[in-house]
Amino acid sequence: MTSRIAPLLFFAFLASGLAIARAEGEKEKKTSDPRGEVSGIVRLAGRELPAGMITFHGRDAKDTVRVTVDDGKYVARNVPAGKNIRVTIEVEPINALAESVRDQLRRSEERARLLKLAKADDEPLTKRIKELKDRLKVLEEAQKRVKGIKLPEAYGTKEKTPLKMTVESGKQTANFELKD
Amino acid sequence: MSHFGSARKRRGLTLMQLLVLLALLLFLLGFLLAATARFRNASESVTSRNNLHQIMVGLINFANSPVDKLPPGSATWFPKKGLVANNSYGPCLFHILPFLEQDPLYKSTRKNIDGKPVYASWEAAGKSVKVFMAPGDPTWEQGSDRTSYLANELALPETGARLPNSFPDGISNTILIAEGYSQATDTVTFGGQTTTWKTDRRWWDNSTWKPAAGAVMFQVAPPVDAASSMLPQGFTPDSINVGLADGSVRTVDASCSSTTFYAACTPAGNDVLGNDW
Repeated sequence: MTSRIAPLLFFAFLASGLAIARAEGEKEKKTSDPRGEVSGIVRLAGRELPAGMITFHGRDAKDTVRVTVDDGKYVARNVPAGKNIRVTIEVEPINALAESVRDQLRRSEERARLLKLAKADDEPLTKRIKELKDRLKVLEEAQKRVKGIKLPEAYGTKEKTPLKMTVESGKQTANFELKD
Repeated sequence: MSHFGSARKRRGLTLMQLLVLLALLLFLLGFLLAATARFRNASESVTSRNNLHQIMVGLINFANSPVDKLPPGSATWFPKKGLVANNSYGPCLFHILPFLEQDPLYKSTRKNIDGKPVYASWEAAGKSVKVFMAPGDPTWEQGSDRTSYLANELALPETGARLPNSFPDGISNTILIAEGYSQATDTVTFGGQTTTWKTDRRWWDNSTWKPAAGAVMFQVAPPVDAASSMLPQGFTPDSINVGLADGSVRTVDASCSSTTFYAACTPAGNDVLGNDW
């Protein structure tokens, strides 16, 4: 009796294991690709890039990781592992982000002015204006540091960039030397 | 006694039959769970496309109204300039409310400012509009006044764009609205200090993005804490849905280049869309 039940039990557990693994596999598919952490220094004409954004481009938009460069240093986590990962480096996104925050601040202050005319009060708006001013302060400081810096267009275009690297699982270092 | 025993034998299942049945059921359950997940994703994507379609119909109907212009993307006075009687203040999703069967909500924002009756979008703060939220948006919250749809500031300027004259690149080649997480998170490190900023994209206030040419023009299914406030975000890993100036909805593949996507954001860039469009 025991010898007949044993293989059946095995089959039942195997089947249930397969079923669960299949369901879980569907859920995990998106995040199971190997990822690496890349850090290093970005230099422009031999000097650390004061501020900027570095982007690692995997196969398509879902495999893109972008982080800030601060005094040449950067740390990018969850970069998809693979060969020929293209890297772009730009300073323009700092100006774009500052402009976007400036624009939000201008609109929020306009709303505050209109509310004042309507003799109404809006506490969250006051808080938001303060937050936006703080953000702008940080970004304007970064803008000052990149003033006058213009990187060649190729460094900021995925299709034209000369910067490529192999990303492996785990931590690794990659320094980039940019030319004027 | 023996008669009773044989009856039990006929009606019941043997242990072997029971185990085989259990194994089969569990195996089928695996397929069922996988199929359910796929069906849910597909259903969310269809809902988002439907929402986008309704927003586009609202925009086109607005442009065909006596105003004869598309509303501005970002919050401003429209259709007249400044604080004048019966004017409206808000972003494009606010201006099109009457064209989305949301006339009562729009009218509820009427307010006197400096003795002038106007429609003010902030009076709708805290009000949720179903068509402005996509169930596939991972930052979606029930009853929230945020939005999963962003207006392109380049194509919807403050002065109001005219159809089709303001779109020399072609109305079927210009993006007006794109999907985007209702909450963006920017993490920056400057001066050795790392800061994280959260931006709520509210339909009545801050529901736009301003495309700037660069290496990254859109994101697809990024982690919630990496959704940039400067970019739109698709909700599935393989694409992003956008609404074009001809009123149609298009699914743009994740492999679309930033050059092509930017060209589709400019209404008068005199640029040609690449083969990856």
